[in-house]
Amino acid sequence: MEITPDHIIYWQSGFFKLNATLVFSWVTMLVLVFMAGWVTRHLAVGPDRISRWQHGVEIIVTAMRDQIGDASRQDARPFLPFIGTLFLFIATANIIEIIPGLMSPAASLSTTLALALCVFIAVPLFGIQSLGWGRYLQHYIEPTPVMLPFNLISELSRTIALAIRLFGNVMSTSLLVAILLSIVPLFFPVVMQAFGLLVGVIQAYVFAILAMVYIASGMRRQQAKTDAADATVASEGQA
Amino acid sequence: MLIDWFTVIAQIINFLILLFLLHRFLYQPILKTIDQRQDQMQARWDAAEAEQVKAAAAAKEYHQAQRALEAQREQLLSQAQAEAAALRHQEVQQAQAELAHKRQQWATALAHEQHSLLTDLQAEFGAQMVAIVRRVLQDIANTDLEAQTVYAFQQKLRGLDDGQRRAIATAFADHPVTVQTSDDLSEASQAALCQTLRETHLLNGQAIHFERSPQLLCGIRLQNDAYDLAWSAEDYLQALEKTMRSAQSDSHSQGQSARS
Repeated sequence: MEITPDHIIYWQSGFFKLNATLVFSWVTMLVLVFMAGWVTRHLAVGPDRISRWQHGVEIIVTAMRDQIGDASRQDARPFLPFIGTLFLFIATANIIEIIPGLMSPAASLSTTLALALCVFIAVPLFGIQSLGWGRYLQHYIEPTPVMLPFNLISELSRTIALAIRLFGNVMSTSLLVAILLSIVPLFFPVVMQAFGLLVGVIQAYVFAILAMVYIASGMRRQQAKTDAADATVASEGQA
Repeated sequence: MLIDWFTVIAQIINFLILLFLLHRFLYQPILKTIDQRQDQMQARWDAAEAEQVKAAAAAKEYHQAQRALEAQREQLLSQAQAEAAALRHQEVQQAQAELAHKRQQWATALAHEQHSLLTDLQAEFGAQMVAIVRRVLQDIANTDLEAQTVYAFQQKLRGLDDGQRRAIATAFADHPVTVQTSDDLSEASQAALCQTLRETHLLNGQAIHFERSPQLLCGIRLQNDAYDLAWSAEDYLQALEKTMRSAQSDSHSQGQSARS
């Protein structure tokens, strides 16, 4: 039994290879893009002409927007594409696992690491977009420049933890189902498969919320310091 | 090794592509639709609020108009009531005036009728009284009324004092005298009357002319152009009429006080 779909290789030419992770990722992407395009092809504005599919998609999008807003305490619109895509990709990848013959690409550490790296890159990008280069990079050397290595290690460890948490959960669920299937071949694996669906969606939610929290905490921490400094300057000016 | 770096890079690229595609085909259209719906609902809400404000203004205007109409109605009602009262007062006054006029007319007519009735009654009564007296005198005293009238007139003439006699004699002097009676006098009565006039020196040889005057009720009148001396039962009748009028007046005043 393969622990990760990376090891299922369909084609390889030197460094380039076509493994199950990439194939199932494309399947996931196709499903998502096809459904999105199909639902949004005829969108209705009037509340009395909305289709059930549009209702469902609007519920998902607005739920994600509300969750992002709650987690970030900011306007959710700039973060929705990134965080929403993380959630939908991981959730869909975990859901398609119930189809026989398909595996979740999230069960690959390469995939979760790739997603964690995306978060790792997105955190400074959103911070710089919000605060500017200087003010964002300043927090790496605070309270003293001595803290720079520790701050960098913190960022890296957070990214690695994010990747391994998702990989471990998804992989362990798949592995657990496989083991149970070999021990108790009837009935119980079905229950565990359903449980795996729930765990997969929860993991997608946790990953997306953690990513949002990382992005928002970086922005908010620097923003709080800036606001406090502005308030101090203002009070001194009044005095 | 669990990490395949080619797969990592490929997955990063896959994720970015998926991010772009979902942004293009999912988030953008869905959020745009939601925003449009929100704008539409906001527009409807604003329109509804504007309509509500308009409706409130219209309701206020309606209430004001209703109050104005109510005030106008009250004013018209009070004006109509005042006009009705004035008209009623005027009609009552007019009716009272008309009633007073009718009453006046009725009283005048009644007085006129009463006067004519009394006059007729007096004439009839006088005639009847004369006839009765004549018959009574004829039946009881075996004498006629004219003779008794002449006798009574003679007594009256003899009863005059000297001053009255002189004044009458002066008035009758040098003028013919006419003696009027209600009925023709007998020659004896005429002679007796002439005798008395001469004895009392009321006449001194003037011509005396006798004539009949039916209007003179049981009496004698001496007259010429300067003086008129008469005695008749008309005085009694006038006293009787006066008594009757007084009795009628008392009866009328008692009737009015009883009605009031």
